[in-house]
Amino acid sequence: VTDAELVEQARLGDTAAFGELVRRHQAAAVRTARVVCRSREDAEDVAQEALVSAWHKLDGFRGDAQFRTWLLAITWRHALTRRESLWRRLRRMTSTDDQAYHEPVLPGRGIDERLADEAFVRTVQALVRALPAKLRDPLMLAASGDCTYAEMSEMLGVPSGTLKWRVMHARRRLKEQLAAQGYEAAR
Amino acid sequence: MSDRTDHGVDSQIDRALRAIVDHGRTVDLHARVLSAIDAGGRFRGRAGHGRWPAFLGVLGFRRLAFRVALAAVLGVAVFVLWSAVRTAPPPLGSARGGTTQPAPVSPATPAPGGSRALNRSAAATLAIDGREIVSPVRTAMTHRRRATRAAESWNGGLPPLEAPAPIELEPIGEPHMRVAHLEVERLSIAPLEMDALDGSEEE
Repeated sequence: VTDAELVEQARLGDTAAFGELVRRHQAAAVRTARVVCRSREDAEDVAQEALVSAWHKLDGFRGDAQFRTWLLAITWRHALTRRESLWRRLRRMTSTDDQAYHEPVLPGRGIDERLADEAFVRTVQALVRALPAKLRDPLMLAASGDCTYAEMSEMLGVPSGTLKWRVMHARRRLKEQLAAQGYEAAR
Repeated sequence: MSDRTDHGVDSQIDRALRAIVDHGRTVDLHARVLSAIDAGGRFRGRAGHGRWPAFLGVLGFRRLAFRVALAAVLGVAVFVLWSAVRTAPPPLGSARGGTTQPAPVSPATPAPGGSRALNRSAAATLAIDGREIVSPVRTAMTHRRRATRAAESWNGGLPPLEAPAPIELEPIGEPHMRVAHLEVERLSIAPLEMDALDGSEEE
């Protein structure tokens, strides 16, 4: 069953069909929200909001784009709203719930290598966070692998050529800063 | 050599970025989403992570400017209340043991030669030990209620008093001087109660 067929059934009030759409795309929605949100739980909340919002807006879905693209655009807007909310800003200033990376990058490697990987991820995370949003968002969206540049262009309202340049620029800055911290030589 | 190093760093960065967005982690929002839909679209987040009710979003509460404006309005309201409480008159109970005397008649009162019946709030313009207890301009419900409550605690089981008679002002020669005859029996009870508590004879 294609997404389009499920969407048609969901429009008629079939929640089971929408549930199947949720199953198919929830991971991408959470990843897209995770680009903006600092914790996994926040990202899941945003994805949930976006999915419920998509259910209510199904009648407005014209079918010009894929359901997945449409859903990710809704998720992105919800995530931005949350990032820009005053309450969230205050929490970011005061809280320590900034979720760090907990899983090994390459399971099965030795403990030293895994710790080194985790340290590297934390370093990259800090450097990414220090990037301006216009570089950080395209970089992370591209890294999530859920959107093409055309879809990112639609979501961010920026031409895809500009987005490609921003991703390239962000990566170059990351590499420079990692090299400045000695990572290039050490690894 | 340099290209190979660059490629190595690139792949490490890619891996790190994918780890940051939790690539590969399992997600199960199915039950949460469907229960939220069944509940009418209300948000069901994690326990202890309450969200703004939906109507606040409709009112624009999610907008920063609206919140700042709302905070300013609330701040002004709190300041006004606080200043009103600060300038409120002392409660009638604090005047126990004092003597009652008519308040000085305001020079802005009546035209010469005539008498005038003051309304109830004006009639309550008395001074106990020279201190004004109820201002004629303070006719807000809170002050009236406070005065009534204090008077009730004074009176105890006494029968209710009759409505105070209108006050007549008599000219005493000079056009702006008046003598006010006030009948305020209720306020004169307090010192009697104090005497009774002290064990002295009641007058």
